Amino acid sequence: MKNRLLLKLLVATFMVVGVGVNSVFAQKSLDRWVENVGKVEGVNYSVITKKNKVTKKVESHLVSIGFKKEGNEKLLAELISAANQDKKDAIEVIERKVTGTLNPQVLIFYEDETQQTVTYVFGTTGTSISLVVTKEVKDKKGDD
Amino acid sequence: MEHTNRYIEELLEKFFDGLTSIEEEKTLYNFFNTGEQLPPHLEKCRSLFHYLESDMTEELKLIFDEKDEAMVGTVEHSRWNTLLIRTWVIGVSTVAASLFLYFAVQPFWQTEKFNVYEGSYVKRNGIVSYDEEDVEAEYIRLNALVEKQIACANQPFVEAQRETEIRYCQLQKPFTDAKLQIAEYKEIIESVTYIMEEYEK
Repeated sequence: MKNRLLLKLLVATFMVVGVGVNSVFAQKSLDRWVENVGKVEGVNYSVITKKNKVTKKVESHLVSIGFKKEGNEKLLAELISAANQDKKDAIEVIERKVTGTLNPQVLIFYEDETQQTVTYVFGTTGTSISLVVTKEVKDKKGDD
Repeated sequence: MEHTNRYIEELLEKFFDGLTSIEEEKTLYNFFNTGEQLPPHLEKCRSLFHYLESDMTEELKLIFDEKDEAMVGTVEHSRWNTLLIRTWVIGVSTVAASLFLYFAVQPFWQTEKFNVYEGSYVKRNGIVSYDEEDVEAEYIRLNALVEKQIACANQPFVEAQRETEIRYCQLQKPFTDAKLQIAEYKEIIESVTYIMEEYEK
């Protein structure tokens, strides 16, 4: 009887932790790629955090990455791989088939804990690749 | 006796008429001040001159002195009061003006000083810029880019949705037309039935 109760508690704990981890790390591969690419040379990398003038709280967080296709094939392959890994957890996926390959265009994730949406927008302009990550920070009270 | 009584009487007459000179008045004062025995009609005037010379002058002097002191005191007091009031008015006005300026200017000063992009940076071609203007320009550019790209990505869906709506309407058309036709026939039948009933009656 005691063992059954212990087992139930253990299962409940795993479930709670599992849900939490899933929501927090829904886009972990993409996050990791974004973090690592900032250290790579020859990559344009901007981090912009905008605060509200009055409340002084963070309104939005934006990361922009841009690099040339040529010489960065590995980087591009890693990005597509990370996007493909995480897209199952996205709330919205828009993909485009280019020369037989399905490439991500927009991935939108929702973080349960923070109640925020994180948007990944992929762009291809001729010889270069761009990725813009936007995180709209909402006030939990809803008075933003 | 230095002066004769007659001469004194003449001087007295002149004195009461207000025609005596200073020298003559001094003579009179000295005469009545000697303490010598005088004839009764002159003795009456002794007390007057004595009074005029000593008591009255003392009294007047005292009165004038008091008045002067009081006046000087009043003037000093009023000067001090004016100075105090002026100091107060200037002090209070300065404090009020400073407070007004502080509260009026503070919000603008703070908003100007507060950097909404604090800690943000733009790295382009290996050059990192923390400049607020650069960051703001990049922020605006990226937001526009994101909006455009999302709209582009959604374009096929929007078009497909519109096409579906059109096709659906096309497919529904025969049914809608048939429904309208049935409604028309129903109306005709109802009106014919009504006429028949009326005719039978």
